[in-house]
Amino acid sequence: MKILAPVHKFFKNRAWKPFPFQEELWKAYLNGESGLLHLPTGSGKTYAATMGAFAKILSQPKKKGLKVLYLTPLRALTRDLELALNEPIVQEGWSIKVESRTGDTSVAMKKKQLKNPADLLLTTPESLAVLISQPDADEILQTVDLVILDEWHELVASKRGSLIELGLSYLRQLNPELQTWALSASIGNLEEAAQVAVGSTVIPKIISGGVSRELDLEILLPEKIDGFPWAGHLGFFLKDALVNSLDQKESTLIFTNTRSQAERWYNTLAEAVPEMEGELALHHSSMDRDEREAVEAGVKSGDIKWVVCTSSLDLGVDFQPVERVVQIGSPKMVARLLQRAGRSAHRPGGKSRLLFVPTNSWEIVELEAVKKSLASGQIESRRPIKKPIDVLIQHMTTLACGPGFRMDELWMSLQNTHSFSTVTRAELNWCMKFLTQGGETLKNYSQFHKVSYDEETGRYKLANTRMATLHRMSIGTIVSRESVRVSYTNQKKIGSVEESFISKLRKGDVFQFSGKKLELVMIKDMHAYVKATTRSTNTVPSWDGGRFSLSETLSESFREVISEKNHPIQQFLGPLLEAQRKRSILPEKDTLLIEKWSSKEGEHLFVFPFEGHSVHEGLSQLWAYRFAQRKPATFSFSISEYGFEMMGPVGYEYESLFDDDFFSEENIEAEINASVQISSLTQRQFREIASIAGLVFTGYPGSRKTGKQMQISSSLLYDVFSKYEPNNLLIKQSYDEVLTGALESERLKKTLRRLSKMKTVWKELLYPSPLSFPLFFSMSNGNHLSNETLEMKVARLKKNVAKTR
Amino acid sequence: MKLELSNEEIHLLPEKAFYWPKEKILGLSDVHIGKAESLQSFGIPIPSGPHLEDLANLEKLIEKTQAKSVFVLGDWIHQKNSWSPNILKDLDTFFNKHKNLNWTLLIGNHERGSIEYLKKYPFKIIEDAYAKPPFLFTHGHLQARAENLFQIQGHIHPVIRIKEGSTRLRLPCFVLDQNSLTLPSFGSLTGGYEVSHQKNRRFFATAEKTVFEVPY
Repeated sequence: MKILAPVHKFFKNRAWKPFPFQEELWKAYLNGESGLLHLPTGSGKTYAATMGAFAKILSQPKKKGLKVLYLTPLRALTRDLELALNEPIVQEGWSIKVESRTGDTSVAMKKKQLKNPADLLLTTPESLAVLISQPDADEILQTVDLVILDEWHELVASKRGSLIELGLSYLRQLNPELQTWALSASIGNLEEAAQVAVGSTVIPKIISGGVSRELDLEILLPEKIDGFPWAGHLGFFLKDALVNSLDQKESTLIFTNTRSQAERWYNTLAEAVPEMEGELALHHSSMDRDEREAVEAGVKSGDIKWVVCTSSLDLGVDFQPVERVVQIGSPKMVARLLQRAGRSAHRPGGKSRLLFVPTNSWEIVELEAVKKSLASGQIESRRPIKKPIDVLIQHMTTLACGPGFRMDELWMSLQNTHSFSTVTRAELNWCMKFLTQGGETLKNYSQFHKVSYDEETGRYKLANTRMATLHRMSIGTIVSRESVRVSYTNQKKIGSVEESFISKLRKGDVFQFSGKKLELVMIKDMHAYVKATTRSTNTVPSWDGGRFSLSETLSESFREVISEKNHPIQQFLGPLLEAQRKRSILPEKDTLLIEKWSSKEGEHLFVFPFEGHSVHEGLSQLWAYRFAQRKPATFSFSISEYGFEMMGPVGYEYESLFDDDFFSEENIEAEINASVQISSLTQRQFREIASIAGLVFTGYPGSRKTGKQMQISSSLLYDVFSKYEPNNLLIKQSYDEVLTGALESERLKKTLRRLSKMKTVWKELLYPSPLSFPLFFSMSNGNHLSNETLEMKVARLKKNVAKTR
Repeated sequence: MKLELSNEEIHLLPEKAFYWPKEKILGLSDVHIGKAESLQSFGIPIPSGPHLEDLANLEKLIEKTQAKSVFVLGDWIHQKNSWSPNILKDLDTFFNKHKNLNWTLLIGNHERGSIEYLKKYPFKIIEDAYAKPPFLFTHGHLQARAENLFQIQGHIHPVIRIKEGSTRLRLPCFVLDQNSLTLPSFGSLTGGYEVSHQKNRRFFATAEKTVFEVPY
């Protein structure tokens, strides 16, 4: 293709040769195709995605306006991409303008970008939505003919992905010829992810390129086998072994699964290796952004050698110096382990090195399961979310801020999406009524106004400009639970924590946060002021982040591993599996193990489907309901990745009540719904939905400008809606999201079918077995769920209050 | 739950109000009528209806206690945007039915802009504190203090977090200090503020049909 001559010239000047997948994508783009580029390592993807468009821009020098939108999940990435894209432009003297537009871009710059748009704009999904909300959005965006979706595997299964889908549907309405190219790492459902990206009316072209980077997967084991705990998730018993295996000269990322765990490990390492001061850092998403960016810069420059981090560094800028990655605790997903491993040796031909640190003995089995999945090429799918109504309502409000929208146009544009094409007329009308009248019945909302209908143009627009300002500030689908900012008394910011944590502290209490020891001075207006201290502390904030469940892929491999006879690390697994055999049995692949144990607190039932936390949570609720139907009782629960425990009253006889109906799929939604536990999960889920749909205004970042009259907690909203408007689609959505998301109901049904074909073995225990011990242990730590009603709880509380007197 | 405050018997009711049997006074605070309507005017599509539940609760309470007087210690109305036609209508109906009682309203911080509206109802309107020895009734947002009087107030919507074993509850509560009693908010659409423990402070939690003291 002649049109690609300037691009080939650039590669030649660099003495490079384009990869075949790059040439393939450029040609497909120039032929008008859309699709997905699948690259296991990601190297070469940026030029693959953009050079075709650059060639086209150079061939049409007279064409004005914005032509390419490049969406990335992180604003930090836009800076590096801008530099990378400007290299050929500067070197070859191309007249192409590349700019970034994110939350960091100044207001003046943003205005300039609207007047005199660049050829290619790097932005985030949220900033695109804000752009769409501008009064003259259609003028700026109608010239766009290519959208590039970077790190699509990270976005496709989230509400951010849904937000992008809706943004694309608007762009396609402006320009039906719009092309889309998604860039993705390996996932189990590439075809589906590609279809979501290109919309339902186009057949996506899938290009695969590059080879997987070699992976060197090691496990850290203690010198002696005994003393390896059966439960726990911190893994400090391997501290010395870890310190010995780390190289102080080698750039290393140390991943943990939670922010609290990262804080604790950072502290532990800082004490164990004081000479690393200045070269050891902490990085997680609740720390102040300036500090995080300083850490990122330190890693890039090589000044910082070891970083204890969380998923906050799963994505992000390329860290050339990183040589090695450590994963503390189960990665829960094959894909996450690969992603993290890929953060090391980030250059073509490099070999990734990952050291896995198990935090209890069962996690040794998990690593074996990861290896098994990798060997057979199994990797998790990332399924898009089906028509989230909250995101749709947010999108409609966004459109109403801009030029306004017509219902027929909106309807047509939704038909072209993958996830929203199943929205019914009735559902869309409900959303419309919700925005214009407040709900289905006008009389209930006498004061309401948000979106109004303009008879002249037939368009729906926001009722006033103040609503538009408020809406732009709350665009996005990431809802933070952290409401309390933490800073030094001189106002220097440190980060943010959850209110429930800080409210437990008193003035003078010391806690560790952001790697620092801090003393609470005072709390004022949702702002905690602290000062540095040298007093030691064990208090670390906990954050209620999303919980990852052991994936379906990994669960299956796990079940295979434990029923195998010979393991590569037999000396470590042997004693564990032997203890399980001795105290109970080690379940074969076709055996469902149920253990019973009596303590003075009550009758414990331990069930081991090995299907991940979320399925076990749903299953425990379902079985509790079914037991209680046969003989009424109150149960407490404890859940793990391998099974669940229920504890009933002393003398409760599970086995005689048990029958094949426990495996029935019939009525499971209704039966789970009947449990008290689901209503509290649903209420929690509603918090996010209410915020995305614009029902609660989370406020101007870092200020208290919101009128007090506008503040209402989502739990109150939830109560009011469920009471006065039970058919509210957002309430229904919360319920559906809990069922399909948190409890993975489809996987639960599959599990019931699997279990029903298995042989059920009941084992009476004298002592908890290695499998049941972690469940028993977390239950006795007070970390469990219960299915009591408020009345039952209060009755018990009053009784216990009387006892303590 | 019966308490003796300054030698007077005061009943703490699970309906989040108190009753003074000797004077036949029913007391409550922070109803925030029309909060839903006020939110509606800010573009939050919350259904109307909570005020009907609050008024019905109040009616039941009047019947149950056979009170002659009702003291509202402020924030009867949420905000000036709360006065929608349905609120006006429902309040008319309510007061028509209960005009024979003695109604007293201390103006709270939320209803400064609503005094003209409030005058239409059979309230005796008091803009600051009201002394009826041995008690001083106030809304609680001003630093009203009177020597030798025991203060009864609202305003902060106190709630208490209870942790017992694995059970976590957050319940509206009465807060009893050496020289004051703070009432929980009466309205169903009101949030809560977690009150911290202090020396000589006692908490009485309300839950469904009971009031019980939470020891510290």
